[in-house]
Amino acid sequence: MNGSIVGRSLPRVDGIEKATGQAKYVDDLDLAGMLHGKILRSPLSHARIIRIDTQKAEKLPGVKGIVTANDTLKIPFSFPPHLKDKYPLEFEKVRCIGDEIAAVAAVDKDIAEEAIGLIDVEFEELTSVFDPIEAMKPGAPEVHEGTRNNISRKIEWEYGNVQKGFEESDYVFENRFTTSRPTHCSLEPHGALAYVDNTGKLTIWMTVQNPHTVKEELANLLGLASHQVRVIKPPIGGAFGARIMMDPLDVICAHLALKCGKPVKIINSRKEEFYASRGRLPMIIDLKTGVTKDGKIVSREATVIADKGAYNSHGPRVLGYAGKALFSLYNMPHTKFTGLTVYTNNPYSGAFRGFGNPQVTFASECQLDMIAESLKIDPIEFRLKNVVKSGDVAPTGAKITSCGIEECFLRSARLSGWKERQVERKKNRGFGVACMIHSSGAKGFFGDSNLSDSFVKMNPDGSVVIYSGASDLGQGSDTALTQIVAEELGVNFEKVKIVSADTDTTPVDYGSFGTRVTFAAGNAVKMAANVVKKQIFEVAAELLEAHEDDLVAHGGVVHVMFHPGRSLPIEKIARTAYYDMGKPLSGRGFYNGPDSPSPDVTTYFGNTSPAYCFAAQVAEVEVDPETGSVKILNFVAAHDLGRAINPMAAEGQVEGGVVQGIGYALMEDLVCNKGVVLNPNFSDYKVLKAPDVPPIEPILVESNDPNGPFGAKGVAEPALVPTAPAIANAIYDAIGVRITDLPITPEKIIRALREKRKTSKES
Amino acid sequence: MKTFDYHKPTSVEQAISLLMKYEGEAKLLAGGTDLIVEMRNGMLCPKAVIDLKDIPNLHNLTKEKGNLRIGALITIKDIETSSLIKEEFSILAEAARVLGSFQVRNRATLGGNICHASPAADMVPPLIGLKSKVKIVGKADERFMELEDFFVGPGKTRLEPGEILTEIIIPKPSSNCDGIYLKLSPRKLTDLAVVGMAIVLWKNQKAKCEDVRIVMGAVAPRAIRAKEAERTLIGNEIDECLVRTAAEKAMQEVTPITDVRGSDWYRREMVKVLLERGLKELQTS
Repeated sequence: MNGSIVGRSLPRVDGIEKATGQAKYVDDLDLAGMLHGKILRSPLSHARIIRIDTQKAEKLPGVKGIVTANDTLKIPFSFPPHLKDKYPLEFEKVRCIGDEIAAVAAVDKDIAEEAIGLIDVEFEELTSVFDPIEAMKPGAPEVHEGTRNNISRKIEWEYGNVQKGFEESDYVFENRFTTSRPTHCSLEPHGALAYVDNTGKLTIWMTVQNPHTVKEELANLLGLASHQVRVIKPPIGGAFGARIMMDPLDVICAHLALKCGKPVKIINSRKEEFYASRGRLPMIIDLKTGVTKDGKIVSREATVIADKGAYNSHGPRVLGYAGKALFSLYNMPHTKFTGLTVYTNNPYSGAFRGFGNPQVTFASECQLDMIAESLKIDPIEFRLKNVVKSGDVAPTGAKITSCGIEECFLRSARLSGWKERQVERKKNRGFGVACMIHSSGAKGFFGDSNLSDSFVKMNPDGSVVIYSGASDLGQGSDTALTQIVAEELGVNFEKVKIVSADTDTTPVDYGSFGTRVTFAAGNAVKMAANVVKKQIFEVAAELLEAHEDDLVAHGGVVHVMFHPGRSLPIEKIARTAYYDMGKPLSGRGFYNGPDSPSPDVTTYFGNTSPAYCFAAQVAEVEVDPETGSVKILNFVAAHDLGRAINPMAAEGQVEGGVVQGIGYALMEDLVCNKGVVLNPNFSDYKVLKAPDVPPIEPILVESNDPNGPFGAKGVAEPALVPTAPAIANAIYDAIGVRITDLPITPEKIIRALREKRKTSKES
Repeated sequence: MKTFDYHKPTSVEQAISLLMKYEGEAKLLAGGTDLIVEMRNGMLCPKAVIDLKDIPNLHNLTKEKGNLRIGALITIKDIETSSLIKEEFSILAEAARVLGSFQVRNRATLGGNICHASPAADMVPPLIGLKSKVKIVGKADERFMELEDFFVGPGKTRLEPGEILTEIIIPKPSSNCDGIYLKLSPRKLTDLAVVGMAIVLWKNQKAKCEDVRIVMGAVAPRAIRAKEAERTLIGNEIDECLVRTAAEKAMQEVTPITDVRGSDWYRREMVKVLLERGLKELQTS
């Protein structure tokens, strides 16, 4: 199906608006009489709240309202429902620095800030625990009373018999890997603007990835009916998982607006953003793998301990998905996963691009290189011997409907010079490879479904409007959905407009996360457009005196097949339909896949995603053996995304992901000491800047998924998943030291080199 | 940000009077790249801000009898691009090029970079390396001081209440003088030094080291000289063995801290690496 619109690098529908600074982000919105809110956050990592005295703050001129937990319904939230542990405003205890205690709305930001300082909170400080291993020991402080050993969730499953598998293996490898605590660093900090009209209806503009599901949650926490809450996502500057879950800030902002009867806006400072944006879950990963001498993986066991910080947020889900992702990429008869999320008094983590996959992929792909080296097999060849193929059911039950990983390997190897690398080895230079699997939308986030609903309407002049609940977060989904609808209807791209992510004007969509939008919302709008196309053909068949099955639409014109002369502009058909025949041209389409039964609740075995994305990345690095600095000379990233709806946007996703992945590999980490973030600013939390970005060569592999819209799958999260291990493997190849602890800082490299020199001298 | 009085004097005298009037509760504003940030995040709440930008003679950049005189309000971008500086004081342009971001360099001033007294300030090691002096003007008189002696510790200088640093004077370097600034940081640009090092080397006719200054940033409470290492080199022909000895001495002369940017161990090790690299480069250039 070679379309004229799908597969083209068309400019973004919101491109001009954003490039010219016209786009209105939450902080750009102003309403008459609007107040500014500020949250009082806990300065302590663990303490009982004895008393909150707001009297002094109330008396400060310009203060219009203060809320504490007493103004709320004291309903906890978080995913999934049975692991709810976070109140919008805490009242019994604070469990981490940055915990929300009270909030002020005032006529300006400075007064709000000053008022926060006047709220007097009496604490009874409690002993904190910051290390997840310590937190599990008997007698450790309880972060949440009644949670035994601070273990918020334990996941355990075994398919086959790993012990038997290890006995049958020729070699068994055991390694520990530890990962860091990076955060999303969205350019736009989290913010909300809440407004209550005179009927009591709340409208809230939020930096959110899933307005429809958050609206339900918000209504519940505020004690309002669903129709009394309208959530609108304006243009937002990045999300990366930070905005899948409601933020306490959103609820607080709504409470302030309800209490003051005026619009209230709250925007996080960058420091607050670093404390409260719920970054990537740090994990301790013990990985044991048994292989045969000819390089077949027989048995693998992973034990993961994740430092959850003070609250669950998405953590338990991240842990579950980490196990799924780890054991879906390679075929093997015996697998076992044990995972624990452990409460501590650190800032808490949640969802961040990859949802647990970057952590376990770092461990797995590093260990596979260690094994390949021992077995003296080429790392790519070793992986190809074991990797899943189209039609396979992976050890976890994942059904692989399309798989382009072999092509990813072949093309990235060719472009990077993988084979030639051994011919002329350059000093301190090395190559590294890593690959990954990732679901493209999965069910189980909200109940047992994975829903995207949509409407498509054709106007009497032939132009089209899409109504989709999906959120464009900057990744370009509004453009992709527009292309899909234009292609399906055979109208020009410029004729299609999209209305998205507004709970009052668009139908329910579970949101933008889990690499699902192109697949799920794409299928939904394609189906809706197809309904409209059938309506157009019905009218056109009458006008052209042809059979509906013989009609094709293309470039804004409906033709009778094989009769190029017999055609009508869609514009004319639409006018006739509306004004002469009284026939509306509108359609509804939804997607809710996959059809396969949900995973078993006790064994977790089963398929969750309608499709799976694959990728292989090759890094070439040069390491300075004196300073430990790593220079990435070249980076090739091959991604099986099914079909590129917009190749330019897809390449942009890949490039952006790789940059974020390099940060994960080499420098990004929220450094905490006793619950205090030591680098809550961009001076000391290092993200790559433009001069640090190496040449990145994206390769788009099109495996054409049978169920994807025009064959498409996702590409968003996968882009960074294998980046860190590819770099770690390249560093090892360059200088012979294996760093198993992220990020791989120059200092760790120098220490490892010293250690290596010492041991080689001793032996 | 808390409210504050704002003044924009047009002479140094007026600025000094204002400083005296606020009795230590006023802050001087030059480029503002440190001051405004610290006021915004609440670290500083001055009663008054005295903007120096309208004082004309703080913007002078001249050469007098071969000595370079740089007004305190000359921006880092000026230093990076000025032909006066490129010719004979290229080490300054080198350091300017790696300070902050493009936008910061456009605003930040040399006087501000010095008076903020950050131990990691990029401009300070090369200036001390070039034996710079600073001119300090007070209510009654003015004085000159070696820049090396100007710093007390992080954020602390020898400026007395009511005094303003108005000028930086760099003596004319001899023709056989060469310098280099090396900055180690995780990112290529827009980053803070984990270790910064300026080496200025004067050679005599026989290619022996006549004089040398090794000045290091971010490895002590203020920029410091590796005097033992300097002594090792002076009067000698610089060879690989001597470089190693000097580098090992320099390692012992620093007192770095462990923080989020690096450990004391790593910083000390990097002092050795940078000194070896710098001297090698100066030998070959």
